[in-house]
Amino acid sequence: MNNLIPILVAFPLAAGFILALLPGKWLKSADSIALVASSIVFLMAAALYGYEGIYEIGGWSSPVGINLHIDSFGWLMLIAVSFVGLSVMLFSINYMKTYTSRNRYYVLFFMMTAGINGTLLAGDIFNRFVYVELAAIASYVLVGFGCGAKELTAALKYAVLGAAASAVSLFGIAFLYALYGTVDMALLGEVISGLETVYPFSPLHLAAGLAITGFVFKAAAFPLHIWQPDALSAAPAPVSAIVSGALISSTGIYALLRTVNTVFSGALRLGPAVAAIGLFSVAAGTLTASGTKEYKRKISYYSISQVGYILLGFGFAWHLIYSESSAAAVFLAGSGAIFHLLNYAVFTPLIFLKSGAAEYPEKRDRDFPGVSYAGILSLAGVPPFAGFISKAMIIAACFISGTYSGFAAGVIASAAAVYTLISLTRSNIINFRIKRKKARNISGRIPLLMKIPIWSLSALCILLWLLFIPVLRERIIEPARLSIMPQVRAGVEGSLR
Amino acid sequence: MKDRSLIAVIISRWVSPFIFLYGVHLIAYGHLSPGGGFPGGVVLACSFILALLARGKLAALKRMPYVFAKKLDASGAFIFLLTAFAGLIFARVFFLNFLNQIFPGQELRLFSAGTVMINNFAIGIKICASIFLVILFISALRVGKDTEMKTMEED
Repeated sequence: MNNLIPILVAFPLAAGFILALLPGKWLKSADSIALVASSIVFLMAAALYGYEGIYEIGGWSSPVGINLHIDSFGWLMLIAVSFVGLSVMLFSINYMKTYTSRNRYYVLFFMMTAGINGTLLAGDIFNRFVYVELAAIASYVLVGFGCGAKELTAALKYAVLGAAASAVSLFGIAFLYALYGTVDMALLGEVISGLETVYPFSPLHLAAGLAITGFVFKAAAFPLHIWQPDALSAAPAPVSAIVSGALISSTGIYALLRTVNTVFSGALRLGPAVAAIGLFSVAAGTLTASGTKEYKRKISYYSISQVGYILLGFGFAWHLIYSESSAAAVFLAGSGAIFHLLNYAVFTPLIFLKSGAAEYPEKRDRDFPGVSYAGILSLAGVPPFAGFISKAMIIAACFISGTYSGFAAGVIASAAAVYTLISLTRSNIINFRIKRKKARNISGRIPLLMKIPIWSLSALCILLWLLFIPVLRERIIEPARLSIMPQVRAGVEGSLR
Repeated sequence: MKDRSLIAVIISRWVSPFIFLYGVHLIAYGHLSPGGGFPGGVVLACSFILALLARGKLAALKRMPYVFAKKLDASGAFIFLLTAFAGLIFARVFFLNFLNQIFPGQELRLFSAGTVMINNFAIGIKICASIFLVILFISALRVGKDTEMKTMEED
């Protein structure tokens, strides 16, 4: 069981290299190799359920060696991301036939999977940076995979901005190493929480700001989101799906949360900053989406605002955990944010996959977007869908916190939610009326292998409600929430179990 | 070929084997002296890049064909991963230096590092192929008098 942790990173890499080494006459079997490999990754991730611990690579222990680390929140992300990866792989086997050189797509896909899994498992901050880069560099190429003018422009923009953001992040990590002499996150957290006083502008603030900036870029949150609509609207549909569902949620959101919580939460109160980034993303994403006509780009902007909700929830929970009276708000914000993260990892890939299904098999037929109603309604937060409860929990946490800032955040977040709901449903009802006939024709020509991921993700848009059955909530959501919250007084936590 | 300097052609032909040999030395003694997989690999690649600069793309591609370089690139990385997996299989810990436990060797001698040497060679092969490919692509994108513009997929 223990040995599965490094294999989760090494196996996708090995699969990628085997696919790259495949001799020309065996290229037809690349599809099945890729499918089997990503199912194995999913099964391995599932098999790690309930396991928490540290794996020392090569037998070298913590300050000297590199370690991998898994806990409940990491496992939850791992299983979500592997599920997205498997669905996207199922989808792309037929979809990528319209592109040249499918084999290279698989190679890059597995590089990206290895980077994502490594990001979720890395125990020290420098290795996390390396894994983030591995995933990001694969995604730069994948975004430009179509080789059209639009794709290449988006990929170039993404690559240049991404390299700049990574450089900033690397500076921050270098600062941390210079200040404290280690890059192991647990050790850094201990050292930093032992600091007596942190002055208003200490080197630690600079290091934290620099290190976090890169992850904010990868999460496509407000000030650094401009690459995301271009990249997601230009890339091939499966690439948009995996970038939005797996790459942004793991190398962006998860890495940001993990860095803030494990490393800095001992000395710095970064909760308000994260919540402010989230709130600005909510507002900016929703406002910009309203002025956008193109379907995929509109969805990209709305997904920025969904990332904003997630960051708002986590930041607010971290902020409130230090106040005495609001255990309920901490619970609502924290588990709402985790739940919204899971929903985000389900509905955005679904929307992009469905819009890609409409383009199949004629790649250039982009005037009709295939609208996934389950995904759209879950994103908009319509009651039977799981997106409703997670968004409602975050907004409710803002209102019941009893602070003015919380109330203001709640007003903005709920206004944005209502606006999203009205705008998305209205535009899609119009769309539906016009294109209903065409939609019927399209659904007939999609092969079964492409329908399976769309169906299963659509089902999950509703079935994720099940995570709030008390049995599942106590086994899955609650441990994850506790492992991403700063460890302070046990009395504040746990009164609302 | 006609406007190439004869001196450059002859000298590069004489020098490049020695550069190659030096690269192999850097990799092989990577665990004992400054050097290792990455610098050694770059030096290995330099011997091919010298041929590319002095005698043109075709001469370099004759020594290191494009498809072969691609396979070498992937196989270097794959060998590295295999040694990591071998640690898991033979000693139950991923990446463990199991060869060093079985066969410690004499300290400060060539065969004293176990799997480190295999890893160094794997990285050397990978870096050699990928640096060569990078330079090859840069030279393929060059626009100018060069009349050897030929799509590389044909080779």
